[in-house]
Amino acid sequence: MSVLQVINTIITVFYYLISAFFLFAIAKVFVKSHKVQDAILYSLIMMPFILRLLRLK
Amino acid sequence: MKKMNMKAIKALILAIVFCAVGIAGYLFHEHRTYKEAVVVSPYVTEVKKLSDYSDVVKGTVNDCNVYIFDSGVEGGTMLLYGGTHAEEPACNTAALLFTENLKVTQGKVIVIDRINTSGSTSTRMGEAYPRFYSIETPWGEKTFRFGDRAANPLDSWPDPEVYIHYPSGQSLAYVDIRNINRNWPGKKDGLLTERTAYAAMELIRQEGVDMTLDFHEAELEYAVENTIVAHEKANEIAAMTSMLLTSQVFDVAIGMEFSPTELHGLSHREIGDYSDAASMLVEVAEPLLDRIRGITDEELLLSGKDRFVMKAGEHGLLYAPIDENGWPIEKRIARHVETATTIMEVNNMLHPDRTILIEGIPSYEEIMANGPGAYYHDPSTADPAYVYYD
Repeated sequence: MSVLQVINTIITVFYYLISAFFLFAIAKVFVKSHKVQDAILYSLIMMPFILRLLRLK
Repeated sequence: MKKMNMKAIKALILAIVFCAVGIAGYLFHEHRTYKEAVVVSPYVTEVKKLSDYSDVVKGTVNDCNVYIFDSGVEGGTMLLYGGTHAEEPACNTAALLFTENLKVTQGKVIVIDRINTSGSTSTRMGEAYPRFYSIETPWGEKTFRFGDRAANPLDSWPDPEVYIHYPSGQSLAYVDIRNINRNWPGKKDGLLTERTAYAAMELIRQEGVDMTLDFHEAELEYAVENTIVAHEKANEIAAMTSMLLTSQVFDVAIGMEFSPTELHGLSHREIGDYSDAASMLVEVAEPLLDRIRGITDEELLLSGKDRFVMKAGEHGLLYAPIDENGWPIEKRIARHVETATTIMEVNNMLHPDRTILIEGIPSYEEIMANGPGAYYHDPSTADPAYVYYD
């Protein structure tokens, strides 16, 4: 693996960690939400992050 | 009580979301892992992997099969490849028709069905593309993946803010880092599709390829339509091919365009600049790609009939004609196959020392009459030694 490929791999790992952080943050506000509309909104936003972290999409 | 109700509602929402994720995830996974069976012609000499030419793609999804038909008789070498853009179905299917039927009696022909396999495992967001399409054959349906023009973000992520093409330094759209037709001649230590293009260039150099032909389709709203785009090394061949096909075979003319020298990353420019090969790219109309299309489904993909695209044609807004017959896939495949065989014939006239003679490939009229499915073979009854998976 070249230096550039190693750097790119590290960046990719960090992007997955950032995605996991966002999922955690959205899940946290989902739990704390008091309005049904907000809960639905947060749950919809969570979906692409779940699919990405599971490497499905 | 209110707190309990809210908890119950959230639990219900989560259950619905996880069901949706489960179903969507299953569909995405099925699409991504589907294997397309190839019953290679008995006249194939060797089936290699792209990584045999450069290990930069070894272990990746883009380490595709390379089907080599070497007659053993001295002559020219041609590379045919499809699947550059997986949303252009007539391209990998046209290449497959060669892979499953070709016999080379002089020279050498190399075929790649899907050069950017990763793109075929993805889909274009917001476009409602079908996941698969099937072509009728005498033995049943042959199913293919339908994908996107760019590699799957699961295989190449993240994209840069601005894609700087190597080695020209030209700035291109960020997403084109995953579009192999903006990555030529490739980069050894680049991202996936850059490395794929690099490995393909190594194939071209190591096999001594004289001509390359990249199969494509384009929306009728696009100016580069029904044409051969040629590097200056291929101008004569492309021009004569265009004239022959337009005057003798095709009902809709096929043009010829010069590869622009200042637009970088495209196969017709960079392969010619960075190897001894004369590079060409051929386009045919595909109404499914048009922005003004109606419902995007397998029916539109296969029939090429769309009343909205037709209406645009009536108002003179298109670069290709379309009538009530549409642009069916058999016509698009037939045009690509006939263009490739005519290029070989013209090459033989202009460069007798690089003659390529082939058999077993149907003509335009035969494909139109019988359908492309008549030339695909049943993997379930074929000799397993000749069955591969793209």
